[in-house]
Amino acid sequence: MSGVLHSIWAHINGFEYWPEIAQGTLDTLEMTGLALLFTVLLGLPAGVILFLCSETHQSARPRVRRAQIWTYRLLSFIVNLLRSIPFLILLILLIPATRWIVGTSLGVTGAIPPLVLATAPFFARLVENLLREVPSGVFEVCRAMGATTRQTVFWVVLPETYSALLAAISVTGIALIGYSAMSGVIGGGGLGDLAVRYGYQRFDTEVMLVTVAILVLIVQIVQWSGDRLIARLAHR
Amino acid sequence: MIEIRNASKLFGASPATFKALDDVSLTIEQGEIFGIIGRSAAGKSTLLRLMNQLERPSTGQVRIDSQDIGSLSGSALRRLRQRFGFVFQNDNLLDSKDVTENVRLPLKVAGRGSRAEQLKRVEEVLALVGIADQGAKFPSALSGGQRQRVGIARALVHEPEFLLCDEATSALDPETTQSILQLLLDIHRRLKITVVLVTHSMSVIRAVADRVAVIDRGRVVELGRLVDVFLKPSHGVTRALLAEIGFEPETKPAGEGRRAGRVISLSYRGAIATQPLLTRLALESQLNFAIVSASVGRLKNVPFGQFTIELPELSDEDFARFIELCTERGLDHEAL
Repeated sequence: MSGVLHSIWAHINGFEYWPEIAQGTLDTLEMTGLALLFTVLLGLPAGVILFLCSETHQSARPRVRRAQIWTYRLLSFIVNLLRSIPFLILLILLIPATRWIVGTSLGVTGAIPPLVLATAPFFARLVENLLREVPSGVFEVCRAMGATTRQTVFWVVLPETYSALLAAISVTGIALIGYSAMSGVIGGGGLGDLAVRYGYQRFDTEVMLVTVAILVLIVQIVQWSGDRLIARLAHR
Repeated sequence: MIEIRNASKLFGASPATFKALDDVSLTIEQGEIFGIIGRSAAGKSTLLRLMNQLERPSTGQVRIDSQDIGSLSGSALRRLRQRFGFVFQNDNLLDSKDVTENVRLPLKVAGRGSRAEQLKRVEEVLALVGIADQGAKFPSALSGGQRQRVGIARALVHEPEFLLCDEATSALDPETTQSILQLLLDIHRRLKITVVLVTHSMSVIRAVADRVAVIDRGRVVELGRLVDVFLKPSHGVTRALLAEIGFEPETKPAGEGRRAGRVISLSYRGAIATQPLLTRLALESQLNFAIVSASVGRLKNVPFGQFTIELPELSDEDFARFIELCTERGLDHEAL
């Protein structure tokens, strides 16, 4: 028994790609972390605006109503457009734009803009949908108090939805981890890059399996900690 | 003072419109408790929501202290709404905030005072509604009655001039309903606030209202002081609502063999209720009348009595003398 364990240990120790895998893991975490941050910064306001311009919240005043309708149409079109382009195509299409924004289309930095543009619309829709689930009584209370839209959104509606928001953020984070692996194809770095270069191009199954295992582990941890955070903060 | 003038409210698009309110006019005086009662979908909630413009009338006018509020929008409308407190049927507390923060929200919204002043005011108002020690709890940890107390505290924290209650006790059990109604009376007595209360229950009206409007299919079918509406209801819906709480005034006895004599209804209210009115009447008139039905009690602190009596056969003159005697003794009478 100990002989078997010993030989496995020796094998793990002898595995020559650990430094690259460690670097890849860090790159993946950095990429998805930063991309998630920007996704939320972009997608949350977009989702709130979509929601405030949707049918149930349209103003009785014709001019305001028209502005709301057109804002919704425009934003909704952009969101649908970005979501309908396959991520791999989006990556390639965006290369010039990425170079212009962050100076390079390669590595961790180069991967972030396309990741954000791919997941922010997804996140915006999640936010729009979870806001629709807020009971109408919550808005009624705010109206009866004479609250402004800003007060209603920031003081009441967003706090009321934070557990759903956290769940949406962890779902988006997990989607990002998957996308970030794909960005390895065009030199995005990270675990996906390793898996493609060694596993796919050099037929090194071991490296591929290890990277996949690490990705599985990261996804599990993100989901688990998201759930824990929601459970701790929930008062329902 | 809240005045509603010829207000109508239509819901829905042109062919399939629903008339929730149909030419409603009424005035709510400063400092009174005004009850609005009706069946489901009678339009009573819509009527209440006109008062703070949560709903705008399709036609007609709403005036607060003689100011037409129909044209208000933006910050003027928000300031108007801050003159009201609104208590909801299902309390509409915010689950993500503790009791203190729920109650503090109207002060934050109105930007009134510093944080410390706001918290002090929240403490006062929580004590007023009898849940002084519950500030740190979250709504999910409270019972239905406690939740509604928080709802009332939130409606009062910014010292509104008018308190609007939309079926505030309908989701509560009878005992809790009574305690919340006592709380409303207590608050009304201490703060002298004008209260408008919408309900489908006559027992709620009976416990608290000074004046009552009965709404049916979007119209005011009866309007008057509580005792008058209870003792002399003029509309079928009012009678039906009264019958539901076992209060059936002035009903003609249905029994056979009661055709011989005249049947009249006598009622009295207020201070004279303490006198031995009926025995005195019997002695002075020297008539042997039979009591067909009777109810005595209190309507929001006003003692009242009501009797349906059957007189023996007697001449028109004697009858007129009897009626005169009733009038002298301060009894309202009505032939049935």
